[in-house]
Parts: sequence; C-alpha cells; structure tokens
Amino acid sequence: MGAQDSAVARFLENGGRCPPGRDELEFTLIGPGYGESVILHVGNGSWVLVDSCIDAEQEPCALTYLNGIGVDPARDVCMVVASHWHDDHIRGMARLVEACGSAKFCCASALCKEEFLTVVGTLQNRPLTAASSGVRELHRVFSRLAETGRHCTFASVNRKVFSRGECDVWSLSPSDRAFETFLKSIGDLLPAVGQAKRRSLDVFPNKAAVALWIQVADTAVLLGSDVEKKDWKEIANNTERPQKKALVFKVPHHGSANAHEPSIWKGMLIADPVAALTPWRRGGRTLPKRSDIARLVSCTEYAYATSRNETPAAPGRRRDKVVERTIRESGIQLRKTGMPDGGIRLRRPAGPKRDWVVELFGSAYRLSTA
Amino acid sequence: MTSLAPLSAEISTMPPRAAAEQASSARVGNVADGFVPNVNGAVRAARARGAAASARVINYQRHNDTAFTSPVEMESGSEARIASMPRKLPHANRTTGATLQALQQWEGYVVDVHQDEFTARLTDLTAAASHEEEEALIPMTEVADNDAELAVLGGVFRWVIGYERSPSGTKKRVSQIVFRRLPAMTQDDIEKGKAWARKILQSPGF
Repeated sequence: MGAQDSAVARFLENGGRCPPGRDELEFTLIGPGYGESVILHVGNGSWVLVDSCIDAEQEPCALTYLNGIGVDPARDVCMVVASHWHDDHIRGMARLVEACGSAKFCCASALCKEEFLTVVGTLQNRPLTAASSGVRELHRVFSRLAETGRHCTFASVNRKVFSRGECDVWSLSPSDRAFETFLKSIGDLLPAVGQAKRRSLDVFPNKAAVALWIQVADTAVLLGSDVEKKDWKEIANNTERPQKKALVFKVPHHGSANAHEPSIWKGMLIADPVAALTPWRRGGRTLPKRSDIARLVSCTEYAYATSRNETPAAPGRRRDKVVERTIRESGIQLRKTGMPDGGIRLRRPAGPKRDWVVELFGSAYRLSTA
Repeated sequence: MTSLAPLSAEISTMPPRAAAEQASSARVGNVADGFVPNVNGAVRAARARGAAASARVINYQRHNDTAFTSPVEMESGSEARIASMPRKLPHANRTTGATLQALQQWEGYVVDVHQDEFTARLTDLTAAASHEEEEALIPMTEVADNDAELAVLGGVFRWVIGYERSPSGTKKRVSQIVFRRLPAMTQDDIEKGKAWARKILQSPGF
C-alpha cells in the first residue's frame, strides 16, 4: 500500500481537502492500522498535533493530512505533543518535530529526567535492530531539539502547557505518584552491566502518559492518551483541573477496560459526547474487545473507531511463490501487524450548541454498528 | 561453519535500504558478528527430531531453477552501487563450498514467549522496510537447539528463506532462524548514555 492508497490520501482526493474556517474547530483522529495521531485546529489557523503515526511510505500521517488541506506545518502548527513513548504513539515524531519548525514540543516531564534520558542514550548508543522503536524515535526528537535549541515544554498534572487567544491546553497527568512509579520502573528498561542487551520493548505499564484538556472558548476536548484507570480516578477527583465538560473524548488505551473510569464519563464529559478511538493488536491480543465496544456504546451514542479489529482486506507484500510456499510449510503463522487504516474528522463552528459534523474515512465506523 | 548474512550491530545505524543491501549480500561470517553459525547444526537438529525441522530442507533436482530475484530494487541514484553488488550470494560455507541465495530476509525480535512457540515482530529487510509490518507465531521447533535459550523477550534474530547450493549442484530450499548473541551491556555503554543525557539537559531549550 503506497501513500496514494492510504485512507488519508483517498479522503483528500475525494473531497476532504477543504480546510476548516478560521473560527471552526477540528478534531481529526488518524489510525493507519498501527498507531494514532490527533490533529486539532484550535482556531485562527493554529494547529495542535498530539502523537504521531506513519503511513506505508513512512510519512507522518499528520503531515500528509495537513499538506493535503493546504496547511503549512512549519508556520501553522503551534504545538506538537508526544503523549508517551510507546511505538504506536510516536512513530515519525522526529520528522513531525522537524517539519513543524515553529511549534513548541511538549512531553511528560518524566521523559526529560536524567534517569530516563540515560536509558534512551544507552539503548541508542549501539542500536540492536534495523527496525524503529519508541526509544529510537525519542532519541532523534531530543537530539534534534537540542541541536536547534528549540523550546521544550513539560507536562504534568494540572499544568497549562499552551495558551493562545481563546485556546488553552492543559496537561492533566502524569501525577506525582505516577511520576515516581515511572522513575522506579525505568531500571527495568536497561540490562545490568554484564547482562546481554535486548531490544527495548514498550510492554511496561505506562505511568507517564499525558492526558490533555484542550479548550477553545466554550468548547473542550479531552484526549486520553493511554492513561490507565487508577490515574483517571485521580484526574477525575482533582479539583484544580478545568471544570467544564468536554464534548469530544479521545478514548484512552484503545478502549481497554483497564483505562475505563466511569467518573470521567460522568464528571468530565457531556452526556453523549463524541468518542473516538484507534484499535490495537499485538500477538493474539486485540483492543477494543467486544465487551469494550459494548461498554463504550452504552456510554455514548456517538462512539467511533478508525477501523475494525480485522486483517486488512488488501494483501500484504507480494513475495516469491517459493517464499510463500516455504512459509506455509514451516508452520510459521505470519500476519500483518496493522489493521485497516481510517480516520475520523469532526468539525464544528465556534459558538454554543452547534453540532459536530462527523466525517468517517477509510475503514472508520460507528461502534454501534459493530 | 556457516553463518548466513551476519548482522553486525552497526547495521541498524544504516538507512533501511542500505541495511537491506548489506543483508542481501550474505558473506562468510563468524560468531563475532553476532550470529551463531547453525546451518549444519540446524539440519542435524532437524534430523534428530525427525520431521520437525529447525532448518526446513527440501532437495531440488532442477539445478537450473532461477527463482532467485535480487531483493534490492533499483532506486534512483543508487544504480551504480547496487549494480556492483553480487546478484548471487558468494560462498557462505568455506568447508563445503556451499552458497546461499537469500530469497527473503526478515529481522525479528521476540515480543511474547509461549510454551512451544513465541511471537515476534518482523521487519522485512528484503523490502527495505523501516518498521515492523508483520508478526509471526513461530514454533520453537523452527529454532536450532543451541539458539533456544536466546528466544526470550527482546531477543533479536534473522529469518532467512533461500536456496543453498552445494558444489556438486545439489540445491536445497532452506528456512532458518538465527538468533543473535547480543553483546553484554558495559559500563562504557552506560557512561555514553549518561553523557548524551547531560548534553540534552544542558541544551538551551531544556
């Protein structure tokens, strides 16, 4: 699948190129089959990008989209956020940071502690694999920021990380407790001296994910990153966070039950908010499960996913027949890591009581139709 | 002793296409390169296990089979460099004179270990991919006995499918998984990591 065949490219070709009006808010979630990226128009031609994923041509999806609707990333993107360092949220982030030359970069303060940076620097000193990884991407991002002297903003609980005009961006996590837990877990990432090196895996519980509250005048959007249930409880109970209710919710951790906290739905979101998620698969495990979908549908009528949990209809790489036959005979089961690609675009003119215009592209669908 | 397409630690610092080029030009290697020679060992293990083969071997009688195609596609600007590469792989086994033609190569790492199999994420080196696009559930019987202990979380391996040709003209189709014996973490590695961390933290934007 080339870039021209991606869901984003097809969407742009088929009428999706029109940029939002200056007073129009936009929330776009792109899921290329593995990973996710959120693109927000926060008014007056300013854009905020949260997380990064890449298409089959290894181009960050957010850049493909912004270029396609006539937005200049170097001039118009004012903030790029890495909500955490897992592979599925950070692929292509270094390219994104470079292309968005006037944007502030924001990540969890925990990621800029010397302990974590030492892990990143050590693991990337002599990379073990040709494949990219979250650690490698972070190494590139920080190296680039340091070379260019660009400003870095650090997210923590209840911190206003960006403000322009009527737009405020707050980080709601990680909490001090999550921060400490994260620092304690860092040691597990690095083999002890004398132990064999291994490829870094992002399977460790993520305690440094950044949940974001983005408010433009009276409209708020809550981005859940991969924040887990325990941390959501703290966020919901925090009295110092912005107290409005969000209209749009980027569902955390691909709809997983371990990231579902009922008090968020009751206390931080309007009734029947628009909820959007990307699916995830690793080994035999997939998210969201059927039970997750049922739960989300019970929470809101307007829940969407960028694709179903299924193998793409399009074939993977074409290989020599001999290779295909050998794979079959070996008993090795090979499958694509990704799922079909798709996206969800929401637009809404500023002002109270306006409805969101929802556009689904690629394999995106409404969960209630599952 | 044969090592297929030895992967040095530095390969990953190359652009993916360059890595694929290096991978496609398999050469004689040794343990120091990180891969344990195991073609013969794998075959022996396969024989010992009967039908379950760690290196699946199929004898071919059609010696003029030309199924091999170069795994490196032409790219603008790189024709000269690629043209100078061998279209067929050189001798990979100095003792027997056998050669290996790699039809397909992946680099993989283990993400989950089960009782009799493991899950790995694969990067297609033949296609010069830069990230994992495929996942494989691999029976442990596909791994040579002396590599089994390396099939742990984060373990890195190379999976090669190709033809092995003997000097007598016998052609075998092989699928083999070769785990890297990864180097040990050193104090020097950590000191370099610390130095990089300090450099980042002392830069103006931080």
